Amino acid sequence: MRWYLAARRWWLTVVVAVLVVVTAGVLASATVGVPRALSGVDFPLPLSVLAPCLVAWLAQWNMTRGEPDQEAIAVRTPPAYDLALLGVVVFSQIVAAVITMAWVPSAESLMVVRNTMGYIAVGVLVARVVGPVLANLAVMLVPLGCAAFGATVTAAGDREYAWWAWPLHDGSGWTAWVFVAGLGVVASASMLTRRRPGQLRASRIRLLIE
Amino acid sequence: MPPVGVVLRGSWAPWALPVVAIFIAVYAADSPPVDDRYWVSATAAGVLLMIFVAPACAVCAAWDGFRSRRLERAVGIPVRSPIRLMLNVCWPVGLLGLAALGLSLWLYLPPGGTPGGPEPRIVGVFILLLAAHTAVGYVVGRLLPVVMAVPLVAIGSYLLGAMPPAMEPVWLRHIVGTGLDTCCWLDEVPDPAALWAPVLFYGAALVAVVGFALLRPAWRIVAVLPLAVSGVVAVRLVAPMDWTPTQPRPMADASCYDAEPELCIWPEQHRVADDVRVWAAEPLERLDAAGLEYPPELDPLSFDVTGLDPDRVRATVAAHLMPSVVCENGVTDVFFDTEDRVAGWLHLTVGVSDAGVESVIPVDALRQSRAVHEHMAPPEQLNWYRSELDVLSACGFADPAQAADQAAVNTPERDE
Repeated sequence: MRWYLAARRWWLTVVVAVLVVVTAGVLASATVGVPRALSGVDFPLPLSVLAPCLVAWLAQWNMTRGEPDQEAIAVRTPPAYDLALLGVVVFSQIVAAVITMAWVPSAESLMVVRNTMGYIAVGVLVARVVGPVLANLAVMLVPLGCAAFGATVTAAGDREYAWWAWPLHDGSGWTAWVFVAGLGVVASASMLTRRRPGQLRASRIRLLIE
Repeated sequence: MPPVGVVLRGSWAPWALPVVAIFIAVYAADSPPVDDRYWVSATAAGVLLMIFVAPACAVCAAWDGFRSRRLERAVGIPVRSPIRLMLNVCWPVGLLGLAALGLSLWLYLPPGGTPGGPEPRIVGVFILLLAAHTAVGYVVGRLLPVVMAVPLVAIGSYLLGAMPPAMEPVWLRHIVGTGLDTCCWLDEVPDPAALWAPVLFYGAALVAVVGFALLRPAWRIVAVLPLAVSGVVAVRLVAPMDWTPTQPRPMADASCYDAEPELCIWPEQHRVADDVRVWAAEPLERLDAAGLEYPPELDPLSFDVTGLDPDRVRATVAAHLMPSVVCENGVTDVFFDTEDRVAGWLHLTVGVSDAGVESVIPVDALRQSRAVHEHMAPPEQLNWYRSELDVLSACGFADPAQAADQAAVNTPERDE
């Protein structure tokens, strides 16, 4: 376990995850203008929607820091460890969110925790298909794409979001939580069922022997 | 230099080009130039598209930086200089940037026969902006793990383009060059300070990257110095500016006709020059009839758009007659209400169509202006106009109760 923790450096992600929650709570009004597709008007995307991407990127970085050859023949299963440590990251954010909400009452902190979970899940799933580098780009495009295609500002100035633009929904909206929970379950299953290179090699060797 | 095919196979630029082209095509339709028949404006409109192109260049360059570092580890210390190495792998990214720039210029191409061509100074700023984003992306790709470098340069590059226009102080938008998106009406040209500031900023970023590549690790902190120095110079350059990156276009560019008042036509309006002279005579005659004259001390009559019609000419004559008041202590709401009423009355007096007036004057103010225009005799209207000008020149700072009474007396209600 010690070698695993030393190689993966999950502590950095935990620290950043906590900082993201605190920063989002304090800078709740900060926004980034995202041009909405086919309307020519910018949508003010809250930084609290964008900042959790940093945690998801770091999580991908953590998971790529292993030595594939050694992990392939390891007795223990690094993907299960990764999943457990991702749980620690999210748990640390929940604790930070509870403390921050007592200090700065706003729903932003809850939103940050939800979006972090969602972005990590998207990163894990996309990484299985195209690798971690493009997965991190895809994670970044989730909030920007939702703002560009799934947000509208009514004539009265109210903001409305498409049902699928879950990162933009309020922390109390259940649709977004269902989305994230679904993504989380699929991503966890994907991590736990992933065949390791060692397993692949062993099956090939068995084929050769037979 | 490595074979072209080898570099292209490893680069992300060929894959990024269609993605960037789609983004440009989608967003170009939403962000038209201020005046689509004025080359300066058509060129500057590409600024908004650069907030997609620059991150794409930075991402591709970060990938190239990672590849060159990986190659060094595999092959050993290279013989060529770090700058040469960068140029060897990053040229497809440069081509990506130039292709995207060319596409954005092509999409905003003014109609045939429009005098002039793409504004070279703005194109130069764009090229420098893309080069700086590419160079910084490459360095970050060499320094950080690629899993982090790629998304970080993508979001950093995007935020650098998208955030400053919405932030205070306003010089931020001029430093990064994104303020140029509001350039320019036909009677405006880019302010040299708004062009020099991004040149200094991005030029210094390039110098910093070169310094970073050439200096020993212990001395690399020195590479940041040019960026800091030029940043200070650039801020001082644009600090006096407001949010517009423009200045008045030199009247030497226009052809002026000897008339009362002097009438000036920009080269882009030559197609309708004869019509404009006829169209401008009519509102001036109406002013005469109302007892007003175009003050000789005012600037020559000129028009800020290429798409002119009689109504637009009348509205411009009315706008020229609006007094320009300097209010050092600020203004009150009375000032704004009065300004709207006066503007409404001037528009009606010179004969602007109902649709034209309604598009620029608030409904309440227009109702009051219309009441004056339709129910008062010309001499009374003139007295009303002069008293309203007094309110404006006092910046609306009369006693509020008095001001309200005055407005009630001066502005008769329409008979319902």
